[in-house]
This record gives sequence, C-alpha cells and structure tokens, in this order.
Amino acid sequence: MRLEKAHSTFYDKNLAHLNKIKLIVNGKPYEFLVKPNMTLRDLLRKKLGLTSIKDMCHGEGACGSCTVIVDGRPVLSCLTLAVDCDGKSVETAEGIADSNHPIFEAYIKYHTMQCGYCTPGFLVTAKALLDRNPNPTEEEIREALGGNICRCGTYPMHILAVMDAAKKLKR
Amino acid sequence: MKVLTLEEKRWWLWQVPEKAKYIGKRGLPRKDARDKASGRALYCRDICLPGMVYAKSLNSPFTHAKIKSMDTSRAEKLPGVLYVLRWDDPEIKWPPAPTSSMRPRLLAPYLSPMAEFYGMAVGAIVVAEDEETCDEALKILMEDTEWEEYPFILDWEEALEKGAEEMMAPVNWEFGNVEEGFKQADRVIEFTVRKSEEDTWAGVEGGVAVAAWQGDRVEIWHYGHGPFGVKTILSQFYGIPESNIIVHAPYHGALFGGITWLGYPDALAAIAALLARKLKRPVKILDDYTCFRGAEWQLGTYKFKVGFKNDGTITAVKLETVLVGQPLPEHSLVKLLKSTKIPNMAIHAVWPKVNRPHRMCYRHGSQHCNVVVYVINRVAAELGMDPTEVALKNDGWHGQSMEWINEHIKPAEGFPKRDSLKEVIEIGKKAIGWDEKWHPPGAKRLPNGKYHGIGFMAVEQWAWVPFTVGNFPRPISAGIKVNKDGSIEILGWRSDGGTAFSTAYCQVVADEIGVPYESVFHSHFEDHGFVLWQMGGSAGVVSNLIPIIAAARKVKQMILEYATQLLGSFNGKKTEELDIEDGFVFEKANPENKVHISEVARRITIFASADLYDYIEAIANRKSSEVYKGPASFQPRTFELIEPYARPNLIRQAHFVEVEVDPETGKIDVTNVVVVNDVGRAINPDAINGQQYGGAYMGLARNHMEAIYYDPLTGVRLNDNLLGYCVPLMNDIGKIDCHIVETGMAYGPYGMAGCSEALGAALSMVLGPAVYNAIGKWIDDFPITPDKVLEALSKA
Repeated sequence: MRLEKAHSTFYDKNLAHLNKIKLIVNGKPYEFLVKPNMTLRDLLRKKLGLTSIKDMCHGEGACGSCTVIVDGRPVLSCLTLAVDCDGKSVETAEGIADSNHPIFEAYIKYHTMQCGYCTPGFLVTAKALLDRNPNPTEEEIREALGGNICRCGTYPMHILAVMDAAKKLKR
Repeated sequence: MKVLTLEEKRWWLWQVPEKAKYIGKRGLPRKDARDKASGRALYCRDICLPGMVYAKSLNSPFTHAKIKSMDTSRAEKLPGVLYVLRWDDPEIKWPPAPTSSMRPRLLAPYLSPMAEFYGMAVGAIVVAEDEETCDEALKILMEDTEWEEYPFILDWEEALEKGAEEMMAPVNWEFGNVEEGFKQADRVIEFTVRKSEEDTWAGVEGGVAVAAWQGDRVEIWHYGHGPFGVKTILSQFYGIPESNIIVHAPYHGALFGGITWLGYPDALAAIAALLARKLKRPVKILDDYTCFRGAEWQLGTYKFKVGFKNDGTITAVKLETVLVGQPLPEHSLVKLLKSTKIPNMAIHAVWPKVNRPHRMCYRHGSQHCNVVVYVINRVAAELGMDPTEVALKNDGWHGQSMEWINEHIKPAEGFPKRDSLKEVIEIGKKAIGWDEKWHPPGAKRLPNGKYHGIGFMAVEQWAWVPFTVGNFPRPISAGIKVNKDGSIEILGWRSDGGTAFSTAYCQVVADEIGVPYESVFHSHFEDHGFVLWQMGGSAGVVSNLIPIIAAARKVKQMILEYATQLLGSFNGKKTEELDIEDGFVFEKANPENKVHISEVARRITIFASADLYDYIEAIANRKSSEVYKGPASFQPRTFELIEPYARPNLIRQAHFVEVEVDPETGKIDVTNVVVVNDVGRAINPDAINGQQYGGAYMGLARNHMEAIYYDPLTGVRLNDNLLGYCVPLMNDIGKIDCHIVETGMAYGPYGMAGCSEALGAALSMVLGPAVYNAIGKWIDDFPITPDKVLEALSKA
C-alpha cells in the first residue's frame, strides 16, 4: 500500500489566497501555506499524512473521531480552521503513541478497539482528560468521553483503560 | 502426509491441544491493537496515490423521480472538473442482471436515472481534482437537471391497500399443523407488533474505493466485507484475467455486513476502475451518504396468533407479516424453530414496494429474535408466569424437546448432556437479581418516582454454520508458512471489520503448532491465493478456523518430519518421539535436546494449506442426521446441498435488562444489562466480551433511540446524519455485565460457536417486555420512544 503525505496540486494554483501559519505538531515545528477555509483536520491529514484524524461525521462535529489536542485542550479538528491555530501546539494519537504515555499501553491492554476507526479520537480525548485531571473518577471519564461515537460499542473498555493509565501515572 | 478418516474430520470434536497457552486466555493484546490505537492502521479512506483525483455521485433530492434531462456543460466548465460520467454515457458497458435477488446489477446503485427513494445515488458521477470541486460541480449539476416526479408511498400497509407492486411473490410456509396446534391449546392470543421506523447501520467510514491502472493491470483498494468477489466481478466486467486485478483490503470502519450485501462496494470499485482507465489517473470515489443509504430488514408489521396450554406449553404460532424488503421471510420463524420445541408454526408474508432505501441485515437476525422475545413473553404475561420458566418449558429444537435431544442427538454426536438454556438463565438471573427484582407488571415505583421494569429474552446462540459451497464465489481455504526466522504466517485473504478474528486465528495456530503467540501473524490485506469467508461476524471465524487448524496440524507434522531428516540432533528419531513447544522442536524423552524451528525452516520450505471442502463430508455425514431426518428448510439454500437434514442447535444465550421509566416525560433509562452467551468454546474471552458490550449497545439502541424519520409530505429523510441519528453514546446505556458459558456443544472447531452477530440482534426488542414490566402496558410499536410511553400511560 502507498500513502503520500502531500496532495496539493490544485490548491497551489491559488497561492495568492494562502496564509502562512506555524504549528508545532507532536513536538516538531512546521510551516504551512493554507487556504483560509482549510480545516485543521484536512491540514494534518493531507499535508502530514496523520491518519489518526478520522472523518466519521463528515465535518459536523458529531463524532469526536477527529479530536486532537491544541495547546492542551481537546478540539474537534473538523470544526477548527487551520489559520486559527497559528503558533499553537498540536498533539495527535501518533504523537501520544510515540511518547509512550501510559494511556497508549492501557488502550492496547483493555481491547478498546474493534474496527478501530474511532479509537484514536478516544485516545486523544482520554489523554487530554488525564493531562488536566490525572486522577479522574468514573463519572468524570464518562463525561469526558461521552461525546465520542463508537459504533462497535467498546465504551466500557475505555473507562477501564483510562483508570489503569491514571494508576500508572500516579507511580 | 496422513489421510484423515471421516471420524477424524469431525472438527467439532477436535480437541484444544493439551499444552495450549493461548486458547481461552485473557489479556493477550489484539494483533491490530497498536496500529489502531495509534491511528496508523490504514483504512480505504486513508489511501492517497500520486496524481489521484476524486469522484462523487449525485444524490436524489426527490423520493420518487426520474431524470428527464441533464445539462452537464456548466459543471464540466468549472475549474478542476475533469469529467462527468452520466447514466446514458455510451461508453458504459452495463453488465447483465445478476441471478441473485439480493444483489443489484453491478453499476445500478450509482448510475440509474430513476430515484426510488430519497438520497439514492442517481444519474451522474463527477470527477475533479479535489473533493470540494466535486461538491461544487454537483451543486451546479443539480441546478441543471430536470426531474419528473412521481407519487410515492412510505407506509407498507398503505401500499398494500393501494395494491402496490409486490417486490417478491407471497410466501406461505408451515411446520407441523398450525390449526391442529390451536385446537390443542387451552388459550389463544392475538397481537400485532410493528416496527415503524428504520434503524440503519450508520457505519463510520463511508463508501470509498480507489483504483489505478498500470497498462492492462488494475489495482483496487476495496472497502467492504467481500473483497474476494471483486476480482471475479471486474474480470467479467472488463474482460481481463483475474491475475491482472490486484485487490487490497485495508481495514474498514464499522459496517456489520450492511451495504456490502447490497453491492455498493463492488459498484464503487467498478466505477473507480472505469474512471481511472478513462482519465489515466488514479481515482478515489467517495460516497459519504452510504452509511445512511439503507436500513435493516426488521421494518414491517407482524401479526401473531399464539396457542398455549395453561402450564405455559406453546402449541402453535401463526405469523402474518407485511415486510419491507426482507428476502428471507421464513426466517422470521427460524429462531423459534431452532430455539423451542413448539411443534406447529406457520407464516404468510407479503412485500409491497415502498419508496424507502434498500434494506439489508447488519448484525443480522433481529427480525427473527423478536418473534421469540414476543411469543415467550406474551404467553408468560397472559398466564402471569415468570418468562424464564416459559422459556425453559418450551426449550427444544425443530419440535423436539430438550429431553429427546439429550437422549438421541447429543450422545450420537459426541456432545456432553449439558442444559445450555438452564445454565445461561441461572447465571443471568443470579447476576441481575431476577428473583428479587421481577415483579407483577406496573407494580414497582422507585423512590425517584420512576417505574422500575425488568425484561428477559433467550434464544439459540448461532454463528455456527460453516459455509463452503453454492453461491460463494470462491472456496474457503487457508495457507500457513514458516518463515526462515521461525515466524509463522497465516495466509487467508479477507477484510477486517474489527472482530479480532486475526487474533483468534493466531492464538489457535500458536497452540496447534507450539510456538509463541507473538511469532504468529495473519496476512489478510492482500490476496495470496487463499480466501477466508466473511469478516468474522456471522459464521466467519467458525468456518475459517476449520482450514486454519487443518493447515496448522499439517505444518506441525512437516516440521517434525523435516527435523528428523535434516537436523543431526534428531537423526534416527521418529516424529512421534518429538514435539514442539515455544518454537523449539524437542525430544520428548530428553527435552534438553531441542532446536528452534527456524533451523528447519532455513533448510527447506515449510508450507501447507487446507480447503474447507475437504472436510465438509464430516458435516454431511454427521451422526445426528441418522437420528433426525427433518427438513433443512431453514438452512441457507446452498447449504441443503451438503446437509439434507437440519442440524440441531444445542446452545443458548439469555439476556436481562433493567429499566427505569419516567411517568412525567416517558423517558426510558436502561440502567442495568446482563448478557450471557454459551459460545461452546471461547477462543478469546476479551474479544467475546467486546462483542457482548458492542452488541448490547447496538441491540438495545435499535428499538429505543435509533430511528430515521421522514417528512410524510415529501418523503425526505430528516435525520440521516450523525447529528440527527442517535447512535448510542457511552452514557446512553447503564452497566453491562457480560458472562461466557462454554458447554462445547456447538458445531464449530473445538465445539465453538461465534458471538459477534448474536447480541445486536437478540437484544433488539427486549425493551418491550422490560417496559411492560415497568408500566403494565404493552407498547408494540417500535422503536419505543417517550411519546409512545406517555400515550400508553394516559390509557392506563
């Protein structure tokens, strides 16, 4: 299988309308030229090949599968304009996996995935929760993850995984 | 290599290896876990090729209309637009109509000029440099298309009254003598259950296919459960050999069957290939609406007549149904036939044509399970009996009692005489506290002012049928090879819908050969010449494990034989004196004499394969067919070719649901769920629990939250997206407590059955008896929504 990171031949015809932005993505600095209406989701998927950012609800902000962390807060990248993120730091599931954060191993241990399409969105949302609340109650986990859709119904396993990761973070 | 006897081919009696370390073990990481959690697993939507362009289809804005004319010139002039493919394009070579009524003509789902329901892909496909330009061009095309509108009908009973065309001939089917059964009854009740709104699979990825040509060879990235059929279809369509068609099957977002069986994925692949050849560039076709362009088979009206004795023994069930699209009508009684001893049952089914989307099963079987739920629970309610007692009293199969089956079938087949239904009910009752919580209907109000209710259902545990012949496009087979480093590769092509099937196969192969789980891999994205059946749901794992185990046993034998021939330390030894553990061949009498299997694999190619067809004579000649010679009427048609007599169903599942119903708002809260599945033999309990959780969410939501609503004046679907359509979220269902029972009484390898399909179907109407128990009134119109609860309460 082949996966190309960049696919921008048509956009490049409209250079006059492009905006230059700077982002730190998973700890690495980048500069992009983007159209004013380009979403953060499309930028990260098309320019950086970050496939963890999924498109389930087709840009309606209904599913949570495109969640990324921007300056510490979980945001729906399908409803976020790339130009509004200029100068900000973005974290995706790929970055969380590479950082050996306990939530990643906990997600593997507890079978939090079936088809796996929504899993990165859950992982990112859970990591954002642990960043601001390292010792969440079940109620707080349910509240944090309550907006993410998993059609396969893996929900109960996410609660166990987040609690397990919280325990490891305490050590 | 040893030739197996018929007795040795009886795979349901194959034993788990004595020293098994992985079969049945919890805590093993899924083989796909790291890729999926990190987001690095590739789905068809993630595929992007150099120079790739995009294609999208026009969707009908009308419920019933035909394209009168279409002017594509303005759309074609839009910068970035490369081509507009029309339904009347002279270059389109339409394939002949298929013989199966379940699949449409290849291109028909996207290139028909006639819209038969709102949102149907119709008339034209636009190709452009990017998705946004496709959308822009489709808007222009919509403005430049002239439609001829026709009257439409959404309601099937109205359609029947108005004499609408029938989609299929009416079906009449009878088992036993239903009128005689009613004469034997002490009481006869009649009631009607209606499934009024559609639930749909709402799959998460959305339709997609990618195609690219290199000379006469085409490469396809396929989305859907059946990548194996695409080669054959495209070969016939383009007149090129199958060897020139390379099909990749990446991961795909939740489908549960769904549109796969309606031919959408094949049509997308064919159209992408057609456009890619025309434009000489890779094409990705996207159909974002696919996940909502369809519905389940359950929709319809079911009129019941049930006769029973005063002790709860059911003597006859008659069903008059008006169905919307379901092509297997007698299957409405299939679960009753397979799960009870009811000796007489009959169905009359009709199908008026309505202007609703095509329907197909996803987590198949809800319309069958619902009949069991309602027959058992309505009889119990009439008699004031505990429904679990009514279920146990009527337990059986094909008109035969469980006592008869214990005496005749189980000993003949080699199964233990365990009482599966009794076991699953007892576990479930204890877990939910049934004896303390079950109460007369409408008799319990909670301190918070809400009604408390508790419901129950039980039905056979299925997903145990190995498929092999008939209309399946390819044989079911698997290959296993030992790589030079000693790692083991299972070759078996298939798509991945998420049921952890690869993990299960790797566990089994690791134990069968005697190697670490970590060293076994399943290569399933690419076609290596071996095709496994299904996505893991339905009968996938059960069917596929037969050739996989058979191939693994051959490979083990080969390793041992080659070890005696090629490795000095085993010279003069017989294979019976050796074994394999943790990847090392060792001498049983002297375990210190051991060599890693890579030492053998470096010296000679170790590869074996097996085809399910070579083993199927075992099921065709099983011993139970000598005891029971009843008709195989409810088996899939093709299966009758190898199994002339019905095969007994000996294992069961039971589910319990607790609800709170708010009398002020009508809102129903599902607070507690207990699911119990006898899976025969659990290969991966964690994965089974996952299917239990998932099935519980899906099943309970189907007739509670999930519904597509239509504007009655226009036929427009009002909530066909994830904002408006209520897929259950984490907090929509309360606690779910999962239990696994292993009686070993199923016809899969090691006596196993599947579990992925059963829950989503079985739990789909259990809310009915639970709400009845809460408010004391039956709500027979599904989904059960707050307005219906309030209406029922106002009549109380």
